[in-house]
Amino acid sequence: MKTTVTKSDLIAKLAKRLDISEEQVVNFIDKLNELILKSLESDKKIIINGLGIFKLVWGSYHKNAKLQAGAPREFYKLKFEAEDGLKELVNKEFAHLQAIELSEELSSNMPLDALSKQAVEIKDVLSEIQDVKGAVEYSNAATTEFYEPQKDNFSITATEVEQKTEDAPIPETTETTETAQTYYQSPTSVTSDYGISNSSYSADNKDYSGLSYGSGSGNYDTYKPKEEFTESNQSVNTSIKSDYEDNKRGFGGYSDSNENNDFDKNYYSPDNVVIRKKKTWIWLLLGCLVIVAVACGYLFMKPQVCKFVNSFFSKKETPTELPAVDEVDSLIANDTVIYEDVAISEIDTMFFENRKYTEFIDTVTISSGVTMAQLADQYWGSRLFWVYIFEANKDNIANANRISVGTKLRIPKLDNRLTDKNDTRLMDKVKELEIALGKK
Amino acid sequence: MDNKELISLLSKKTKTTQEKSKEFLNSFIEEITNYMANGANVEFLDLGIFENIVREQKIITNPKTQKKVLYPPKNVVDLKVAKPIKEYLKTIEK
Repeated sequence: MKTTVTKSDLIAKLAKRLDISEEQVVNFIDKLNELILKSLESDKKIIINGLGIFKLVWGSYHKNAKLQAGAPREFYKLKFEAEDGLKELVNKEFAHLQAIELSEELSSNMPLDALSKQAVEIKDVLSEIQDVKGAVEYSNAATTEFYEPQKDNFSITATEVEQKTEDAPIPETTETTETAQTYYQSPTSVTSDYGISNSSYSADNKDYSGLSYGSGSGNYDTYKPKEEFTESNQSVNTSIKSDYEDNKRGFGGYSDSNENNDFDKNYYSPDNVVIRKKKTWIWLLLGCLVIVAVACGYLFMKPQVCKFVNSFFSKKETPTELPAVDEVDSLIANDTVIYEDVAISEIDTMFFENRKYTEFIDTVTISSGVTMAQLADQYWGSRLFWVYIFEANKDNIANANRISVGTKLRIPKLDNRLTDKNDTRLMDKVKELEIALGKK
Repeated sequence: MDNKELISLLSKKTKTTQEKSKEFLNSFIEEITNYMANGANVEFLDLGIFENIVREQKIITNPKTQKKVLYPPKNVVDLKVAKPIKEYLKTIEK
């Protein structure tokens, strides 16, 4: 938790600094308060050099906010904008850090298996380092006391530490323990490394010891200092890999207690890693395309579809096998009864398929309410024979369902066999033709 | 209003010299900034509390290039306005 410096603390400090009584300081502060409020009311703005700008902004509650009766919906709000100098002073701790463009491996969502493997590896390395650290501290307690951290060793990664520990045996390596200490950082080394040379800070170190970000700030190894940044980007990316999960932790890693340098081991469990892939828009797009395709297909291929559907529902007639030509000849030779039936059916089909409209009986001009079916009924006694009229006047009629008033229709002269209502075979064929032409 | 005007008005109100009021104001601001630099929250008069807020590090995607950038943490100052002042400001008309 951050300490808050109260008004009374400030008064005591000012009285000490200016060598005046606290009452005088209180008087000063009260008057200053009054002046600032008055100027805010009149000018809506006040600039205090060294701090920033205080200004009143006209704002309002949200339109759905529930207010008490008589309470104003719109009112002034006090806003503060800090000066650049104050901003820099406050952000001194992180001023050396710079935004880093992540490598492709990290920018794309890393697979869960790879992350969990890394987590296990890091866990093992940490446990080994802790063991080594404990053993060497016990043996070489005197040497570690006079250790001064170096800047170059500060940005060492976990993988490098692992290599060093493996290469050299435990009692001989005083360097490894030192690097490990720098990696996890003692509170004193942090202040020296980050270069916060504030005399007041060191003097008041007791008061603000709880505020320093010492223990966890090793996580910011990923942010390379501005001077070194241009030299090698690759080394940064490798260090990111090891510290990527540490950074994911956010500011939870910056524990206030400087004494506890141990990492939270549960943090490295793969359960903490969440990977999300949002690609729903592709499915939505595909769905829309399919719907559009179906709609277009239905509009353009309607008659064909109708025919196809009707073919399913209509009864399938088993075609009667006609006798072969040789058989017919033999039958004719034998003068059998079957001869007549076969000959008639063949002739009928020939007549229907070779229908031609060369001669015409009459020409009719269409008035409102007159249909081709009515004309067919009038001339041949069945409404179904409108098909012949349509076929004879195909040049004049674009759509069989819509004939404009005033068009002249020629009525063809037909053979009697084409207009025989009692012939079921003919009527079926006419019905098929009607469906093909698409009359509603 | 500038610091100059504020100093002259302050000297008039407290019936002291301008030098003294200037010294007071400068030391007052200096103390506050010192505390702020060390990461503490400071009570500023009756107006409210200057809060030292930490903006956490975050990964940002550049919308044009679709590349991800690790953005560093940052310390920011903000004024948390006191309740009586808020109520007082509601009485002021536009």
